[in-house]
Amino acid sequence: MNKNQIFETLKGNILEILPDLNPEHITLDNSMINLGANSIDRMDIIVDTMEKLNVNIPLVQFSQVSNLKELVDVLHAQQS
Amino acid sequence: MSYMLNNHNSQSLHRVTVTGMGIVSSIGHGITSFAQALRDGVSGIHGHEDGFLGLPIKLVADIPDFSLTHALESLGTLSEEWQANVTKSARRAPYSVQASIAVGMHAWHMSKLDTHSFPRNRIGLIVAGSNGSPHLQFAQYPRFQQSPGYVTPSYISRFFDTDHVGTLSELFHIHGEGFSVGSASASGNMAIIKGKQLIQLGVVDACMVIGTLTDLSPIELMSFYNLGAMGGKKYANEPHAACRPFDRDHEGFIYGHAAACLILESAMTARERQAHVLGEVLGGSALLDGNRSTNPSEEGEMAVMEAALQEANLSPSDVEYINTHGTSTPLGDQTELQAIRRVFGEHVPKIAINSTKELTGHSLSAAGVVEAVATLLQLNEGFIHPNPNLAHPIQDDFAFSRTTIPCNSTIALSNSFGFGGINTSLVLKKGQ
Repeated sequence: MNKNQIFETLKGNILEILPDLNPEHITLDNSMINLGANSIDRMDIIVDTMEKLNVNIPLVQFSQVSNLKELVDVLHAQQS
Repeated sequence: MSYMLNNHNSQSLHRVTVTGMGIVSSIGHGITSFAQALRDGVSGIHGHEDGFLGLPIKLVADIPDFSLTHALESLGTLSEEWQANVTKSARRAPYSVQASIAVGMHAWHMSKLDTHSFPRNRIGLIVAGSNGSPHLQFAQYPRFQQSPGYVTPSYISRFFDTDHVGTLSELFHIHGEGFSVGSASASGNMAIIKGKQLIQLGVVDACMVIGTLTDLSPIELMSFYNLGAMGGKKYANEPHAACRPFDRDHEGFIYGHAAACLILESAMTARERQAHVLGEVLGGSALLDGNRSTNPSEEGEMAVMEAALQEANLSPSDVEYINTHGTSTPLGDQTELQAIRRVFGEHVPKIAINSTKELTGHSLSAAGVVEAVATLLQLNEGFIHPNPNLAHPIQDDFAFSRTTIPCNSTIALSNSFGFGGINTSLVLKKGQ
């Protein structure tokens, strides 16, 4: 998957967990915290996305991520 | 009589009333529609032609397309604040927790506790049931098989039965003592007994007791099925006729989905705030058989009914109605009638008797609370609900009825017995 496809997958998972969100607010420079996802929601969204991308990344690697763009970058880097 | 009560002068214990009730079930959500369904002898058992969850089990008293919004409909339009809080609590909540929210909302609004400045640390919360949502675990298994790394992180926050405690205490701002209590099919009665004791001892002044909806996974259902505990063979094509407590054709229990809530409250605070009293818990006893097997014990059931009556300072002749455990299991039904006969003797023909499980199915952890609600509704509204399937009672001198009968009873007994030799019995009195 390219970065755009990964972002779309991530967006889909965010909306599944937070169905009341306005999809337009889910942008690369926004963060999940800012979108209203609590710590448990965030871990669910990341694990759901890893499953769809068929990757397994230790969750500590996401600890420094501050927005969706950086999250997509970590997921993309582990893909190949 | 329990250890605790032996150590107190019964005069010094607080009396325990019921000031709120709520229910969701296969025969109606909310007290009004549930009472009507009881009166009409409506069965909630549905036929699943392709099998429930794809299993060989074809008859279940389930709640198809359960929705929290629908379950709350009879409360009318909720205030903006309540709507927002319910939406927040129910967000991502599993079916069983949503059912608890629904019954809690019904009972809470009925009790009008929210309109009084009731100290929040004087309200307790007891959730009946253990291992209540194995379906959640079952749903994780394919993910685990694919890769342990894909197990949903939030599953663990839903796994403990105390998820109900957390969710409801947050929604209703309950800050007194709270916990879950497990006693298999007697969990509901056990929770009512524990709530009663908390109030009697003055630990809290009110207590929300929730009988949780037991959401079994295909594994538990098949285990029950393979054990031969489930009915529904002879009447496989007549769902409403399949559950036949105390009838010659009883074959086993029919699984049902239901949740219920009682708000227990000290008679003193109920009087002070002029609450509408829906009933009183006069006695409640729990005794073990010392037996890990699944078979019932006539001695144990007899002893627990006697202990409950003794605690209530009543004699067998005071009881006018018995809501039985009555699961439609041949040995269980027979044993319970024998135990009742030994406790009530010559009074047996005068005591109205029925099984609510014929209509609702067996809701396992919730059953005791569901049946306490059913008992109080019948006492307060002056009827005994029918058991339409009781064509040939296994014993003919009990006052069963296939049709609704009017009654003017004041005192009732409600039995629940659970695997592990757990016997419980409640003595309930009608409301004001």
